[in-house]
Amino acid sequence: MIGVGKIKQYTNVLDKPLSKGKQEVSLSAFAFLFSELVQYNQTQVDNIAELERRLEDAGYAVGARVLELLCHREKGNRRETRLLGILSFVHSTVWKVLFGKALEIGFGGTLVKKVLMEVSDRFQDMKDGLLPDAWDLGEPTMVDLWSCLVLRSAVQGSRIESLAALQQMNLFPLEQIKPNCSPVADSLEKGTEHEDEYMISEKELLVNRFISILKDMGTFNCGAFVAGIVRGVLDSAGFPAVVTAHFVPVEGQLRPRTTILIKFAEEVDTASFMSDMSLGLNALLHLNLHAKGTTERSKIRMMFTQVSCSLSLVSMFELVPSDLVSISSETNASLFIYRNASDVAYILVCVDDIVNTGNHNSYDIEHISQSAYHVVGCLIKDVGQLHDFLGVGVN
Amino acid sequence: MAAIYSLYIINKSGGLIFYKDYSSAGRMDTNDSLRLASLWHSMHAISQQLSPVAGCSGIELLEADTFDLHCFQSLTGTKIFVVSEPGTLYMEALLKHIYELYTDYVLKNPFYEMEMPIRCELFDINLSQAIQKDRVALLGR
Repeated sequence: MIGVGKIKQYTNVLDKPLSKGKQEVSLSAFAFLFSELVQYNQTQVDNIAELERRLEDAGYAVGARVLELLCHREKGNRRETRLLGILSFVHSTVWKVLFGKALEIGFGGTLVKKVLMEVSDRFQDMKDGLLPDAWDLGEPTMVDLWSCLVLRSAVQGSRIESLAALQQMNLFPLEQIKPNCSPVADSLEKGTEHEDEYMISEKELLVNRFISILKDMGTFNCGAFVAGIVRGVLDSAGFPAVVTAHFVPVEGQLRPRTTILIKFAEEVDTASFMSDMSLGLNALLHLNLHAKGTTERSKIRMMFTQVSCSLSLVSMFELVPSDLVSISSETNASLFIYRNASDVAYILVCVDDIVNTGNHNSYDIEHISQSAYHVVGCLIKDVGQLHDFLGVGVN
Repeated sequence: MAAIYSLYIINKSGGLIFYKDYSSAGRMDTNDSLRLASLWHSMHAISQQLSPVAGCSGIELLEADTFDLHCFQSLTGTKIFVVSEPGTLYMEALLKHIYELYTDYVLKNPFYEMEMPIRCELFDINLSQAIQKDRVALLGR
């Protein structure tokens, strides 16, 4: 009973802070426990697919609890609601707690390359083979990712027709974008083929460290357990996804890497696009802060409004992101016209005002401003009926 | 000039569960290697009984004109032994290291059945790394 008086007494057990927990666990003990888990499940199943499913289910239960615990312990009971937020929560917080290290955000070139392909479809001079050679080298950095997202947002949301025009705007050093397709270190990256796929790539997954798969087991991967954890976290956070673990052979290496593929359910897809856009917007804001001349600054502002406009259009009409290209009007860079069957909407952007009109009856202005706040992170103020525009009274 | 001729791992009942050749000298076919393993198992047990010293754990080193045989016995009765060129150094350290590899990549593998022949890819990879000569010298330092 020594020291019992020193412990603060809590009348309610719920007031007691959650302990930090022991940060270290013996790797051997864990390996034996995991091995035992696999062996037990092996006795319960007839085939390998079933074994994989059972391991995933075991992981799912862990994931659901991990999310609850970490939200409570690290985030003051707040839960991520954005796609990029939850993904970064997985690769940093969850991975750190479970495996003692955070993952890099991988650019691995895949995202960068995809964006560039998308962009090059749009740019006439790129189609004509003016793509700088320098774009094929090196390792992309955070700046590149940003630039690319800005690029994409800009291209989709505005009416820039050529690469030269974009370069003239001199927003960011385009020549520095150098996509690279070689696999980077343990990382989380976006899939190349589908918009809604993300990959966690690990050289050696902790659970696989001591495990050699028998030849007759085919593509079975004990990483299914980790995939289950990821699915548990995402599912419980409200981002339904299918998560699978695969071995991916790497050239020049004896052991294959393990890739955990996250495929989000359809409804998450648009949200993902929004997050990209908002990242692009944030990058634009950042560029704005560092812009030198006033002309440069005004260009960035123009781009920003264009992008945010297209963003609000997407959230308003629940568009598919690819519709955006046809949105912007041809005569005026700040006027956006959206037509879809009988629906017409006009959006006029003037510095920091947005005027919005149309015959679409289902949209509601509160909803737009809220979704804009949600996506862009800045509040649209003074929302309501138009009463005054450029000093001219309207009624 | 190979320093290590071959490596054996025998389970607690004397069955050979792992055998690997590292040089052309002293190569044996499957039957011979099985025989040698069970012979060594019995000799090891007998030496334990006959030893004048109390608490003897069995033969650790057998020196012959053409080879040395270093043996390591784990607490559970699994024996690992290497046949090497006479006078090869640092074999105890190597055996300990191999035992570590055995516990890591064999015992922690859910698809390995106890007392059965070892077929684990990771064990093979790490073992061949450990056997490389410079590695042996490194362990001794």
